[in-house]
Amino acid sequence: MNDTTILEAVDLRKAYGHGLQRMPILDGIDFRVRKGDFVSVVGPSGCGKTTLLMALAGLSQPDTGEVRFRGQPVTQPPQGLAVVFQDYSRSLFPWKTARENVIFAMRDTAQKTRQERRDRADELLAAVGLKEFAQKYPWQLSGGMQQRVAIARGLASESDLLLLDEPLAAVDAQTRADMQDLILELAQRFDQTCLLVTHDVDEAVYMADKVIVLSRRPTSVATEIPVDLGKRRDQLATREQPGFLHARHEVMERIRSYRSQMAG
Amino acid sequence: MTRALLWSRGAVSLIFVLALWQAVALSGAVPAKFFPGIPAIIDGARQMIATGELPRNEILTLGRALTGLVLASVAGIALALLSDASPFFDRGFRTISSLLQPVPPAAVVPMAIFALGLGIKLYIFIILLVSIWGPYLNGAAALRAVPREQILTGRMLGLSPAAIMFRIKLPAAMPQIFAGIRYAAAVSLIAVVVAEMLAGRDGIGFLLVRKSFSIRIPETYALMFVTMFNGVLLALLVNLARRVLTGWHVRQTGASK
Amino acid sequence: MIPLRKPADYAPILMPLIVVAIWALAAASTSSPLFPGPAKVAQAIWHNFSTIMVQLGATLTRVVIGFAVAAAITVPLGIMLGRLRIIGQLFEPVMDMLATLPPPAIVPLVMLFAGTGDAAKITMIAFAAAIPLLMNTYEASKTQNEMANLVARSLRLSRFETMLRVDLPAALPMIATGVRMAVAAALLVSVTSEILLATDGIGVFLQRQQENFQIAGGLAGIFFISLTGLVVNTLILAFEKRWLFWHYRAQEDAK
Repeated sequence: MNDTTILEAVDLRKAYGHGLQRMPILDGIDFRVRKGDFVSVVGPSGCGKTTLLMALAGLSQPDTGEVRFRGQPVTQPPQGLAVVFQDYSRSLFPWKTARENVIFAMRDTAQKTRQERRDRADELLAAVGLKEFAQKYPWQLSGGMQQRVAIARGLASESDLLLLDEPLAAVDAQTRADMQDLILELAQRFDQTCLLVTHDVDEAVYMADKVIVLSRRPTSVATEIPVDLGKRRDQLATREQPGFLHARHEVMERIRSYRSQMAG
Repeated sequence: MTRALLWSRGAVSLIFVLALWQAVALSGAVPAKFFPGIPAIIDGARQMIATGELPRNEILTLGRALTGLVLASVAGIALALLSDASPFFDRGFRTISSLLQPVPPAAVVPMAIFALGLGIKLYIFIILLVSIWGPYLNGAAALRAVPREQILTGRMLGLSPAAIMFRIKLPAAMPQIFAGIRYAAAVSLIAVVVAEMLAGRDGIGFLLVRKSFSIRIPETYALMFVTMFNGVLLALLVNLARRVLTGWHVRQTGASK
Repeated sequence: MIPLRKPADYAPILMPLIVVAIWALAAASTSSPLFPGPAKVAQAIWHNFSTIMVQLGATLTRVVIGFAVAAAITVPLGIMLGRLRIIGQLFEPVMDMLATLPPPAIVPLVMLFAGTGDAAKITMIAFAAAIPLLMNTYEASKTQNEMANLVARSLRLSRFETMLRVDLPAALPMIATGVRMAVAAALLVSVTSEILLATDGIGVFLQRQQENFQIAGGLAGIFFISLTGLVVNTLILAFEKRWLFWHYRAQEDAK
C-alpha cells in the first residue's frame, strides 16, 4: 500500500505575517495521493488552496511539516512533477508558438533531438485537439484553447504527477464540461496521476477517485470522501448516479457548514 | 497611495540623492574641483541669484517653454481634429510627419536663427517642431478610438457633425491627449535648452554653456539642477491643467483603483 | 479587377507634393536668397553631397560607438537593478532625476571632465543614450511577470536560464522603446556637441552653412539628418516587427 504512495503531505503548516498580524493559513494538512489516482482538493473560498498547491509543487516552503514526493522531501520543484496554472493567459509565453510552449517543458524527457521533440509536441497537441494550431501563438487562441496548450505542456514533461490549479476556473460553462472530459481522457490515456485543486464541488466529485475536503482558514483536511464511480465518467449519466449524488451531498454539506460558521 | 505619501516619498528620494551626491564628493573618489559638494553648489546658485542672472534667465526659459508648449498643444490638437475629419489629410500628413519627426532640434537651430532671429519666434518654432507630435499622435489615435455608442448617442440627439466632434469626441480623447502633452512638456524643455545653448544669447541653456566654458564648475552643476527642477515644475503644471480640464477622468480612474 | 481607389490612397504622395509646390511658389514670389525654393535646395544637395556624407559619417561613427558603449553597460545593469529589488529601489530616485535632465545639458557637464575631443563627444553620446536605456531595462525587469517566473521554476530552470529565456524576451519590447529614445537622444547630443565644440561632423557642416549664409546648403544638411533618423527608426521598427510581433499582436488582441 505504502509503496504506491506518490505524494504525501505531512502536517503542513504555514502562516503569513508576524506578531499580532500573524495569520495562519495552513494548519496541519495531511493526505496522500496514490499512483494512478485522480484526486480532487476542494474547499471553501479563501481557504488557502493556492498556498497548499505552491507548497506541494515545491514553489514555496511550509513553515513546518513536509511534502514528500516519491518518498523524497520536497524543497524545490522536483523532477517528475508538473503544474498547470489557473492563469493560462500569463503562464504561456507569448513569444512562443503553441508547439514551442509545449517543447519548452521537455527538458529532462526522453526526446533529445529537435525532431523527436517536435513530433512529441505535435502528438500532445493533437491529443488535446489542437493539431492544426501548433504554429499559432497563445494570443491567437481562445481561452479554452490556451488552457489546452498549458495542459499539453503539463503532459510534455512526462511527470509522475500533474498538479492542476483550478485550470478551468476562467473558461465558460460549456467549454468547462468538455475540458473536464478531455482531462479525464488524457489522464487515462497517458496513465497520469493527477491532483486537481478546485472550488467547484461538482467538478471535484465528477473528476476524482477521491475528494479531499479542506476546512476553512486556518485550513486542515476536514474529510476525505472516496468516489466510487469507476474510471469511465459521463457528463449526463455519472451526474445522475446515486454514488455521485451521495458524494456531492457529503462534500457540499461539509463546505456549507463552514460557510454558515463564517456568516455567523 | 495618498498624495501626502507620494510627496513625502519624493522628498525622501530627493534627500537620498543629495546625500549620495555629498558622500561621493566627500569620499574624494572624484577630485573636488570637478565634483563639488552640495554646499559649494548652493553657494554657486546663491551667487547667480545675487547677480540676478539666474532669476532673469530662468524666467526667460520657463516663459519660452510654457508658451511653446501651449501653442504646440493647441496646434497638435487642431491637426488631430483635422486628421479625424479628413482621411486625405490624415494619410498625407503621416508622410510629412515621419520626415519631420526624427529631426533633432539642434540641427534646425542654425538655420532657424537666420530666418527668425534670436527672439521668442525662434523658440516657438523649435518647440513646435518637436513638441507637436505627442498631442497630435495621441489625439489622432484617441479620436479614432471613441466608442461608436457615444457617437451614435450624439447623432440620436440630433447633434451636428461639428458638435459631435467638439462635444463628444474631443472630450473623450482629452485624457490621452494629456498623456501626449506630458511627453511634449519634457521635449519642449529639451528644445528650449538646446536652442538657448546654440543661439548663445540668454536663457538657462546659454548660461549653462557660458559657465561651463569659463570653468565655473559649481555654477554649472547648480544650473543642471535648475534644468531638472524645471522638468518637474512643467510636469506639475501639466498635471494641474489635466485635473482642471479632465477632472472626470482623474476621478474615474482614481475611483477604480 | 482593379480595386477602386479612394482619393486618400494618393494622399501620402500627393500632400507632400502640394507642400513642396506651395513652398516653391512662395520662394519664387519673394525671390530672396535667404528663402531658397525646393530647386535651390535640390541643387545644394547635389553640390554638397560628398561633404555631407563625410561629415554625416563622422557624426554617425560617434553615435554608433557611444550607443554601443551605453547599451553594453546599461542593459545588464538595468536587468540587475531590476532583479535586486532593494538596490534598485535605492537608485530609483537617482534614475528619476537623471531622466528629467535634458540630454543636451550633458554636453557642458561632460566637457568639464573630458574636454572637447572625440572621446569626450562619445562620452556625451553614451551618457545621453544610457539614461533611457537604463530606465526602460530597469522598469521592464522590475515588473517581471510573476506567473512566467513560477512556470520557469516549476520547469526547474536555473536562475541564469530563467534570465536568458524568460526575463530577457519578456523585457525586450520595453528595451526596444528605450533603444528608440536612446537613438534620438544620441543624435541630438551628437549634433549639439558638434555645433558647440566645432571640429567635424554634420553639426559643423550646418554651422558653416549658416556662417556663409548658405540657407539652401543648411536645409540640405537637415534633410539628410532627417533621412538618417527615418532610416534608423524604420530599421528598429522592422526589427521589432520581425522579433517582437508577439508583443504588439498580443496587446491588440487583448483590446
